[in-house]
Amino acid sequence: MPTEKGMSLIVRTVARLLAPVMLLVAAYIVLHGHITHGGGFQGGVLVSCTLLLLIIAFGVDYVEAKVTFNFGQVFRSAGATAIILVALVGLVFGFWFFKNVGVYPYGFPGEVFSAGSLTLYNLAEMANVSASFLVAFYVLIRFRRRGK
Amino acid sequence: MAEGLGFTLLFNLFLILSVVLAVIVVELRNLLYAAIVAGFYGLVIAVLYFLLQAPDIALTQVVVGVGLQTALLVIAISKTLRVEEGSRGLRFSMVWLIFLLAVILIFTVAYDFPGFGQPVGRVGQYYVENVLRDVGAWNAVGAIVWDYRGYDTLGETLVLFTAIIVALVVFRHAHGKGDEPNR
Amino acid sequence: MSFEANFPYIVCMLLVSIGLYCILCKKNLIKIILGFIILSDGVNLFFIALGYKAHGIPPILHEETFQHGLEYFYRAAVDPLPQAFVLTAIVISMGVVTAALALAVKIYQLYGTLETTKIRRLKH
Repeated sequence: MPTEKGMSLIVRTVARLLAPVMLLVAAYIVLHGHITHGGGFQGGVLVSCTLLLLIIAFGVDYVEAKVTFNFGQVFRSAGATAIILVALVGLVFGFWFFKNVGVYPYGFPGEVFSAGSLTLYNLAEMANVSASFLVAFYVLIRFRRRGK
Repeated sequence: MAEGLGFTLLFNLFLILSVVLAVIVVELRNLLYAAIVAGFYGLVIAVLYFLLQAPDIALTQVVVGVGLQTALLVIAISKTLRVEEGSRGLRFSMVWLIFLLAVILIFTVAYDFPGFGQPVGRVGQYYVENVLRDVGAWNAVGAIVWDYRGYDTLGETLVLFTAIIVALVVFRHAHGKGDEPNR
Repeated sequence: MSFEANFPYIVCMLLVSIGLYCILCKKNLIKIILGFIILSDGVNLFFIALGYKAHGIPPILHEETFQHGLEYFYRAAVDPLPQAFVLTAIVISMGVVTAALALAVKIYQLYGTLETTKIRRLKH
């Protein structure tokens, strides 16, 4: 159970070593979402799980001082808005909603910056999902049970 | 099945293991144990997805079923009760109804569906053949999710957004110190 | 077709039945949410199994796929459409589980119990 004070030195050291690796894997999954298996949702959940690991190791007060509740709300709304904005660009250029190739640069298939808007969608979905579950964690952990 | 012996053995073993773990999850009285066994059940389901040649879904299931879902369940159980209370009373009419439904479902999928390994959908062939020309992505699943069927994913994002808003509304006085309103 | 050939489908339907039993017959709210998870996993597995092709490969291009030729990929790749649907379904079921757990914790705060039979009076 995540307490508000955090856990012992061993857990903190392991979490400090493990968190950058998890963030790196999440970045790989998101940025290569259109080439290999993966995508925005998987990477976003992995980012929120990394923050949950930090919450368990260092306590919720420590993490919330760094990544605030309001920042999570803004980040999540920005991700959801960015999806609609990226989809709306097709309308501006005279195509239809969710138009991909033709509006965005095509790139060479197999490279990181290819496949038009898929990279942008994956990044926006990552922002939305990670901040969504982070906000849910904050709200559920902060809740005090009855009689306490 | 038309596969090799090793694949068949492994696949059937994990199928039986998933049913056994599901029964254990349902019948355990201690909810914390049940949540952790549910995490292991999610891992078994992920291996099944991987054996069915769906690495995309297997990755999602590992991250969601083992990480996120177990964490949310454990947090919720730590805020409520750990052990299921009340007696083990069974409503036999309901059990018979579910048993009848299960028999109907099993006979339907056993005799009215084409054999396992012969896909029924035909539209998927178009996506497989044209994904490189239409979208330029290597991952056909990602291309369908974000390009061919983008409206589905827009609705999915909307549902997720609304679900988190529901959680925030339910706890609108809980976040923050004391009785001050939500920050 | 027969029972042996369609054994994976039968297992999926067993999972659906177990989840339905858990939702309808158990009285604890957390148990009901666990039953919902089992039911949705059974349905997702059924979709993926319907799209499976014997001796198939994943519907993801790779350097090795280009060495074998694209014709082999067109012939052997499994159906990607159910996988895209199941990806959407997993996200939605996760959102529903989050909202349901929040409601369960709130119900425990208001009524002091998680049993559906003991939640009687209306408060607030």
